[in-house]
Amino acid sequence: MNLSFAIPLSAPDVNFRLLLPELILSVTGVVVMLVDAFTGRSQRRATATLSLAGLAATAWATLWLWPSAQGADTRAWGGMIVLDPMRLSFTLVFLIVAALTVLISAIWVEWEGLPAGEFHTLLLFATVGMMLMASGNDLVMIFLGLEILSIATYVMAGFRKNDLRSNESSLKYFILGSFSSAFLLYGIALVYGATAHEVSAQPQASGALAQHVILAGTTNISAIAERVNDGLYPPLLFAGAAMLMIGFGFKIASAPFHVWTPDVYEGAPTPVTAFMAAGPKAAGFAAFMRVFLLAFPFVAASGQMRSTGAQLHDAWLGALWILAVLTMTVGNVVALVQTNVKRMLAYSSIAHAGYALVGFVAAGAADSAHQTDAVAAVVFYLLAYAVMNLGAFAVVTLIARSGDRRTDIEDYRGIGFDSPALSLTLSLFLLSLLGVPLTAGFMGKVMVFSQALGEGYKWLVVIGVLNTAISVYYYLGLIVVMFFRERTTEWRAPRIPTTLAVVLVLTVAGVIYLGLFPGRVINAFRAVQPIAVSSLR
Amino acid sequence: MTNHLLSIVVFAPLAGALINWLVGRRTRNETLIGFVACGAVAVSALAAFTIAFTGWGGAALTGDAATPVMSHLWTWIQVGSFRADFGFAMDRLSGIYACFVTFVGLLIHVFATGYMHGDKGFYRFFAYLNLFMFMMLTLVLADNLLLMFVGWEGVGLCSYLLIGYYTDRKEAGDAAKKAFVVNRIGDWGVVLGIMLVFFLTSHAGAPSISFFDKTAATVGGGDGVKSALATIGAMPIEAFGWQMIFAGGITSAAVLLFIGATGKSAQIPLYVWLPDAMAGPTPVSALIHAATMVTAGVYMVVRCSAIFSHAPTALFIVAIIGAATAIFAASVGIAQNDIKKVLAYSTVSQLGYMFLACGVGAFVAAIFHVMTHAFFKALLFLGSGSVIHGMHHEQDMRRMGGLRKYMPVTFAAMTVGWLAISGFPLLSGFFSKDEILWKTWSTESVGTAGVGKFLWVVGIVTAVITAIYMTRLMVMTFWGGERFRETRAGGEADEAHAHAYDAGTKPHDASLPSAGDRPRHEPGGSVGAPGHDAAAGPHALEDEDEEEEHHGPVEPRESPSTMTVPLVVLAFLSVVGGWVGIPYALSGGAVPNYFERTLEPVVARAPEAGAANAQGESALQRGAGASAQPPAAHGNEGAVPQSVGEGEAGGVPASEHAPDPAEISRERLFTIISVVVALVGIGVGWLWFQRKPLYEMPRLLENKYYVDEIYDAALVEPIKTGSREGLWRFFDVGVIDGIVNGMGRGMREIGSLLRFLQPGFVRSYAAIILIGALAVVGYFAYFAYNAVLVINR
Repeated sequence: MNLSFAIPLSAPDVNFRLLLPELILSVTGVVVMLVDAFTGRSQRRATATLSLAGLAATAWATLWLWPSAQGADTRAWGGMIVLDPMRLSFTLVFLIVAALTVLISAIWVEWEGLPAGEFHTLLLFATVGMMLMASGNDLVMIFLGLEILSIATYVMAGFRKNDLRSNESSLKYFILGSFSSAFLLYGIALVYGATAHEVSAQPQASGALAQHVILAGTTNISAIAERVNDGLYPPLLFAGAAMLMIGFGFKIASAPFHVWTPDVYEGAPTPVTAFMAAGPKAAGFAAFMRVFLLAFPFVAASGQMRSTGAQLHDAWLGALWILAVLTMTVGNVVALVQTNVKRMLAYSSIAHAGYALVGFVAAGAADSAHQTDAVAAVVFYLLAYAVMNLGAFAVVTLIARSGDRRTDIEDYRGIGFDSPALSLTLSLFLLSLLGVPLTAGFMGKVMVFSQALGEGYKWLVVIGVLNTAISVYYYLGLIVVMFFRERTTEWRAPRIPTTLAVVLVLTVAGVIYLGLFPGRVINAFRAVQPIAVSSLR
Repeated sequence: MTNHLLSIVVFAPLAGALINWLVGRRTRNETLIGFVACGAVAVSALAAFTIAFTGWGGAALTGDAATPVMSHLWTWIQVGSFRADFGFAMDRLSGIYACFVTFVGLLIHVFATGYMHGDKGFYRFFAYLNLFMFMMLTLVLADNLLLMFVGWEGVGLCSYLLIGYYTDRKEAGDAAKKAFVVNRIGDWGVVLGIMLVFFLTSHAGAPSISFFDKTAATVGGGDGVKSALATIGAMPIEAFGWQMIFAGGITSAAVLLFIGATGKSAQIPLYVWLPDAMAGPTPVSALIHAATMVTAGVYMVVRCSAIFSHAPTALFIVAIIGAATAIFAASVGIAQNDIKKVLAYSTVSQLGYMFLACGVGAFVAAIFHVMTHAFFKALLFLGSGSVIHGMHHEQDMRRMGGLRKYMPVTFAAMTVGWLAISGFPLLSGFFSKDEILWKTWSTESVGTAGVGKFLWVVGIVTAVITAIYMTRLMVMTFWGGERFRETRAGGEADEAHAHAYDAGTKPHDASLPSAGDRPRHEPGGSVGAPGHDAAAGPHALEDEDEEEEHHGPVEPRESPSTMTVPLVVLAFLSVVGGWVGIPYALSGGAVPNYFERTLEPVVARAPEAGAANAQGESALQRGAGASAQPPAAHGNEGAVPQSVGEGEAGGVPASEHAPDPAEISRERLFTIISVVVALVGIGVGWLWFQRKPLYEMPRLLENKYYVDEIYDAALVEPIKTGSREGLWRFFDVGVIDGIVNGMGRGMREIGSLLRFLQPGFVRSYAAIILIGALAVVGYFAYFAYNAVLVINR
């Protein structure tokens, strides 16, 4: 018998090459922290530049690893870290999000007089956490990544120390986040227990007592997949999977575990909100998908009796279907009645998680050949969402001014013609979020929905399209407010600082590029299929 | 062979358009703009002639092998088996088109530099005009149907822009819209026709929309491209019958394409836009709405002759529509008083002739007439432009007369054009029209064999009317009393008011210069007043004086040399242009019919009545080389090496081979009839209008049979009313908005309810998460129970 769980017991197989992106970024984070500590407050530019350089180097390392995702050498740390296209494409999304957040926050940090170095350090560590969530092939590694990310984001949400809303946001996030982490951790424990095997210990270890028996489970995703059918305690496996789903459902803010989102997003500083809606959500998807797609894979029905694995697959796929519908609908319907732009975008981000879940469902139902396409579609969707969402939040940041004062929809009345650059770009992002053709959002929706259709989820797609129709109301509503309402309050068009101008140019270009030429990106994402369970043996 | 010089033919005008739009708009320097525009077209013309006639260029027209010169740029679209290239090809047909389009275009560009002098939108005008040349050459030189359609739409766009060039005149805008909308109806047919061609060729196992066979070497790899026309040319000829139109076969494709041709080439029932299009500047009328764009329909039909020759029903329709349009438009033209309207209806009528020729299977004759018509109709339009210019933008012939003294060059040139279009012997129009009439009489095509004689009568009557209305135009303009001197045009003022509508001009007093077609002059304006005067000489001063005084008679004057030189060149071509196609019957073989010999290999022949009925359809395909000449459907030159005439000793085409002596004498007889008809027409017109130049025409004709009014009442108004009341008031506002607003309201209600679940307390959030968690765990528990059952069993 091949004992996967026994691998960590042997000599650690650290494959630094595969860890290069995470290593570079961690080192950058430490360097930024040190630079900040030894140079004082005035080094906003230095730390930002360092962070960007570190992110660029990480991106380079990621791209450098890309071709080897197909090779044989794809595990590090004894199988806790894995190299596959899913990891790399998610990593790229995180890096883009982090880099854009650095640029967006530049002006905000200055306005608020905040310690930039600390912010950049936290941001980089959060990004490392996200990357570990995408690259971890072990529930423990994923949990570690998630906690690295979460702790950094808790602090970032409360970064404006003097602002009550920011504090409230941070505290709520922390309490509810801990609550959900508990579910996740408990789920990991249950899965470990459920996959326990009776195994004979190594004969040479105890000499004469060859029949010594131990009970051991596993947290390695590939190993779990192998043991789904012959674990000792199947009911525990179901409970564990349910707990994992709850924990990840919280991270990606799927209904009904979304309740923290509006308050936290509204209260957190706008650049942090932008980051949270794009980055950690995508990281949640990365881990969620890896665990459920690879640890509880689709098992072809053999004979008339459904095996435990097949039952488990049915269970999580059905639950996910319901989560997707709930998430889309709740997000869109409640977004209709919001009066605050940040809150509206928070609900919109819930709705978009729902659309991405549609692709996830399709990936779950697909066989391994189509699964690659479905996963690539989801990652593409999240990339498109990240770009357009960060662009939208960049404009919101600029219009909100310091202290997040102007974030009500009323504040956007009639600003369209006073600041055409801002309002036109914001309109483009809103249209993309809505999914108007020729934009990234449209291509994302098309890909996700077509994957779902391909797997026969007609009603899921119908519900998704109806939800898109609902979302027309609030996205276009904001555009109408900007361009066709009389202004009632004093408003002066803000000057667009260079960093934000760069963000806007990049995001606009991204939205249009992804909308017009999605082929290259999607092909890169689906270049290799995620490491199949079988390849581990 | 491949020669990328061909791309220069197409893209040079585009470069000119870009330069004028980007640079010309800034400098507003008329000399520069005019030089760029004319230079671009000149480059294009030079390249086109090089390719057509020199061995280095590929000798597309004169070479022995009738293979096209190709310029494959890139593969434009490739989806599944569908493939469209971005590539150009010049074979003998498109070579003839490219040469006369660029050359006539060049002359009209030169003319326009004089005509548009002083106009504020000078750069815009020439940018559009160059853009038009680009699109027209794309249309003509495209090597597949889809790229041709790009040019087809492009010329439509330029036509729209240039008809509506005078943006401050409502009737120009309306005419532009009318042209655009009417052409859309035709384009619908073209698009469906292209699709059907693709389906037909796919069905035959060689999906293609290309006109030519393209080798792998030409297209740069792959398997090469097979010609759609050759594929269809190898299919059996379809039966003659009305049901074939809807059968979805070759006939359907041909009819759909012809619907497009009726739009672009102004045939019944879609001709109504062309007369209105005269609201554009006169050079535009000459270039787009007489010489080039409107013949695109003829080009397409001849280019797709392999398709049409397999669809006798479609050929029958083409012939009938052509003949009907010819006589209808001619009868309207005789009653128009606006000089450009007369020429517009004349154009419609002449286009009808061309389609008549296509319909009876005389594709070569159709192209011959396209070419000669381009010469003499461009000449007539430019002449009328010169007259209008000289008359200070007066277009109503009732206020002209006696101009030959004042504008001798214009008069002489227009006389040539008049005689050419009337069919005066040995002028260009004589040869081409005579050939069409003879081919109509002698047609043995399946579709038209029975009605050939009748169509010939229609053609002859049209020829008489043509001669009459052209004589009327000449007499009213150049002979008789100098009516422009009369302060009130001899009691015609009321009439002028009454007819102002169809003249397309505002009611106005004869003593004032008409606001009709005038370019916007800027007397002493910002655009270099000294240069303006120097260039225009005395005219400009005179012009300004008159505009300041606003009284007194108009003094006509001859136009500047930029305008008269093109007239003279075109007049020369109108005389000799027909000599390249002298039929065997007239020359007795002494002068070869160059035109027919050149084109014969590239067009298909219509199926003949006897052959088609007697022989099986399979015989029709193989007998291309047989002496009995069953209707060999030549797909195209490349595909059918055994084309008639090629490679025979002495290079005499088979069609010129020793025709039956009886046939020759009959053809000569008909030529004499044509001559007599032309002279009778001219004579009648002369006697009639010399005496009474202002003879009042029947109201029915003057009002164009009330077709516009009928269209308005029968189509436009119902559509407008239906759209407003049905689509907008009921469906849009009532149904759609009702549903949308209702749903929106409902969703907001639900949203407000859901908001209550968001009170802001962490404990209630935790509770919600817990409830959700319980639900998820419960859901999983159900499956766990199932799994346990399975295991325990």
